[in-house]
Amino acid sequence: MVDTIFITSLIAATLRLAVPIIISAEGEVITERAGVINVGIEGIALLGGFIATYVSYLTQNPWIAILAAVITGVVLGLINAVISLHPKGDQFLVGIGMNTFALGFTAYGLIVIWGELSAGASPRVPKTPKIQLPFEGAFSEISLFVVFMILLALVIYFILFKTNVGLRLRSVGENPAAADSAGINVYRTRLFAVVIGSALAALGGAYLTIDQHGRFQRYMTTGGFSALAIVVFGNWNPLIVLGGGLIFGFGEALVSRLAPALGVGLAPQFIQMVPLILTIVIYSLRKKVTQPEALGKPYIKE
Amino acid sequence: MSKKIEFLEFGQIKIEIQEITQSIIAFVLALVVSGIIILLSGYNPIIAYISLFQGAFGDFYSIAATLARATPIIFTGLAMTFAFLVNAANLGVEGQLYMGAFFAFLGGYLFQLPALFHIILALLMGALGGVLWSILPTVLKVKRGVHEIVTTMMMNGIAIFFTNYLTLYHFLDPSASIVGATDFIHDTAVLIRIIPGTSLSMAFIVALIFAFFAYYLIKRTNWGYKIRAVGLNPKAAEYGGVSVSKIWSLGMLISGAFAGLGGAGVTLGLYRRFLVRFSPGYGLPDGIVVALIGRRNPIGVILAGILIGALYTGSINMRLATSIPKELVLVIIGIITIFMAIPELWRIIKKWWTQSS
Repeated sequence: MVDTIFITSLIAATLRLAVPIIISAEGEVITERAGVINVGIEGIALLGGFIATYVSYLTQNPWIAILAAVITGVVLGLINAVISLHPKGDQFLVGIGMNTFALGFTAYGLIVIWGELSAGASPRVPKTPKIQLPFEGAFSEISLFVVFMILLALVIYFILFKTNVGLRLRSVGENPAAADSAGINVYRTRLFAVVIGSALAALGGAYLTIDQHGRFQRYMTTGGFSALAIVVFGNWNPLIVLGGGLIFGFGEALVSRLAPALGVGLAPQFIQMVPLILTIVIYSLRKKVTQPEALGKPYIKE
Repeated sequence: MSKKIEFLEFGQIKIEIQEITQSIIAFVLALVVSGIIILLSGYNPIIAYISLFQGAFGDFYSIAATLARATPIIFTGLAMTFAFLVNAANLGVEGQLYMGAFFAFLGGYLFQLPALFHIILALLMGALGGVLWSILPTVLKVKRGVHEIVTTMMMNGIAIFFTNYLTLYHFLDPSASIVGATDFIHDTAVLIRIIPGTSLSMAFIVALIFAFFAYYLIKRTNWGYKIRAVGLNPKAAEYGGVSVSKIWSLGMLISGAFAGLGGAGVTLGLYRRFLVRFSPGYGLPDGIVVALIGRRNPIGVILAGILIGALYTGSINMRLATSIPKELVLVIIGIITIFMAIPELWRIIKKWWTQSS
């Protein structure tokens, strides 16, 4: 009986940790399949989560909050795309800039809106409702975002590999010059891909604040950097990314749960290092990375 | 031949003026955008910026505080400069800074030497710590093609936890007034205060010396020439007989050494001991933005370091005078970075200016 409780709570923790990372990572798959790297998804998710919290606080309606987060992601995606799609624009710097801006802006906004007394966190705001399940314990209810995450991976897989739209998107990421001569608008396709990716990252951040915690915490991490690693681990394939994200979440959940049990003689710092070391190992062990051919390279029309 | 070189030098100066213009425009635009944010949150941006400036340069002590705040970020700015020059996304400056600070502590604590030699040893240990932490991402990139963005990011976290462990389990001073501090280093390893009663130490002078050394290395040596060649056009450099992967590795390791020196400066000059989680972002984002504003030029990095140091120092006074949260500085730095990513910003402004008038 203790074991079932342990296992169900472990699975629930796995999902909690994996959802924001996977939603951001699926968006990044679309962006990178079109040939653009968006390093700023960590910051976009942070801002998405912050705006969602504020809007839920103002309107007391979590659905409007989700909409606001998505709009935030679209706006940031447009700014990001306009700069990174320029032939001489720097994709890497825009992303770093957005991450820094988000970190500062949310910490600033937290104090401006709720005052110094907020102690680094917003008040509790209305959360999105959960799906009720007929089980006891950790699975008596499940987040809507879990269902959304699974559907998202399937839909993106289908669009990328089974439809004409997906073919065009991938051709822009593999060989933009050929795609261009075949009549595909490279810039518009990439703009679209970056905006979708940013909107999903913002949604991932909104999950953290108005589904999981019900409040915004200063300097919280949104898993954007882990998402970048998992996209590579998942070979730019939405389904493997889903699996990879779940393995990552499971690893973190397991480590944090086993830590007290194994902790004899082992400093907690080493347990905290495990996911970081694992990421490097997994990242390095890939035999051959089959990344989109034109990834990170700006397209210069002849 | 000599005429050709002169022509190149002249072109160089013209490019540098354009690059400085880009930095100034990005900075001013960032202040304007942040000013709008200040205004929208119900404060007066003019009063905010005046109090910021007074807090940074208003009197003798605030100038000393600004220069002290600039010291570590001049080092990390130099570190990012070398990384940028060879097109390496070394996001690991933060971790390399931590390892440098800890190794410098070991150098200052475990050894006993006459003053000058001890300082030199501790600084070298700091550089070594930074280099050690940049070796793995460098090897993984060159041997296995693993992109350095993710590996260096992970190395940051590992460095913070690792130094945390070493401090708490092996070198902790339980009587310290701060939680998570080591014992003090020997007096012979301390970089003394330039002005007593302020936090400005000889580490600032060391930073200046290393910035000029970096300038000499980049602009006047054969290695520097190769580093610039690899960054500008790797294919042409390879064709010209330069081993791109070797120079790239060199850039990464020098980058690590400078970040490590930055950490050493903090340990030897500011705290005289190692503190867990001491960095408020000296490496990331400060190092990146300083290298960007400094336009990958070590002399520019000195000025940019002082500028960013001034923002941080001044923000404390701004908060006292206007109650605007000091986190605004991160907003400004983020916006500067985004504007610096826009290519030929000055050209866009000029075009817009001529069209509207």
